[in-house]
Amino acid sequence: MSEEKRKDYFKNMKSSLQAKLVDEEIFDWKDFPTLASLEKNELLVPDGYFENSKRHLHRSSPKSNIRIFSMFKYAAVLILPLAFFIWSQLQEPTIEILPIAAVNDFESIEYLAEDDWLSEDDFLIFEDTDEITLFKDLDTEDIIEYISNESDIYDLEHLPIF
Amino acid sequence: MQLEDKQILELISDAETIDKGFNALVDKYQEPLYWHVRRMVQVHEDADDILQNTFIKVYKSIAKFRGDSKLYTWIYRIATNESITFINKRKHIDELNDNIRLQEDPFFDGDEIHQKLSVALNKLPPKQKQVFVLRYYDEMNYKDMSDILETSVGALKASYHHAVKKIENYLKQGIIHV
Repeated sequence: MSEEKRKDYFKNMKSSLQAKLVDEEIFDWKDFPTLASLEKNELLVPDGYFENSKRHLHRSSPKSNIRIFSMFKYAAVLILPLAFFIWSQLQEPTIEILPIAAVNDFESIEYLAEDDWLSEDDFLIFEDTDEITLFKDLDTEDIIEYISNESDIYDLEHLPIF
Repeated sequence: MQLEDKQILELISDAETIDKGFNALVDKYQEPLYWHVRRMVQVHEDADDILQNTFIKVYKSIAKFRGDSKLYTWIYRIATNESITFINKRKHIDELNDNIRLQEDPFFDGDEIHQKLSVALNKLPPKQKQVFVLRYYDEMNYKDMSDILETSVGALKASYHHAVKKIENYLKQGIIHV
């Protein structure tokens, strides 16, 4: 026997022995006679189950990417008009103009009117002087002028003077 | 004639022959996978649902299969995970209910000892149950089991031994120590 063949023989024997050993149990079936004696044929399947199951699977699986693309195409036909409708609705002004009577009924307005959030002890700071000035020491005109300067809102400059 | 896994994968990798490849895959694996799942969940209807889900998942993700593992172990892993998910979802349902379902299953033909075996199997922790089913019923070798369950051969052997001991004990005395 050549050197090479002898090497192969021992190499093959080792790997076949390893494969056998890997599949050996670490216990002896003789110690578990009840389980070892059981037959494993208690479960049945309906007649023709595997043939029918295969047909069902093929029906439920997508056929190809082309079919998926077609589905997207049909979905786009439905979704685009809907998206346009939603977009056009969003462009419309959503401010609801209420009649005066309805505005007067707002609880929040009543709450603000009744609330003493602007107390006499509140104060303003004028930037140019850094002086602290209490509201109660100011004329209404001065307060309006201050607010107008600060906020730069046109409507505030045209508030009626009480 | 059944195709080799390599041939199946070649068919699946081509858009023109993907359906042919998937047909071949189903032909080859549906029966062994069914029995594996059926042993895990016992009732035919449940096994049928899980098998369908398994093949749908295989179909959807076969493009991502890189061939690092054997196709066989990859498919078994998907089926095993599906079965475990199902079993975990049913955990809240009491054991009595499960036994009644099994007795009422027209495709269960076992006698009293088989019913006991089924109860014992359901009492095992899910991982141990997997090991038991793969080895006892599917007669799978430890190397493949190790690939599917990502567990060492030594740990699998120990786990199988524990499962066998518990089941034997239950069959003899009606007690199982989980």
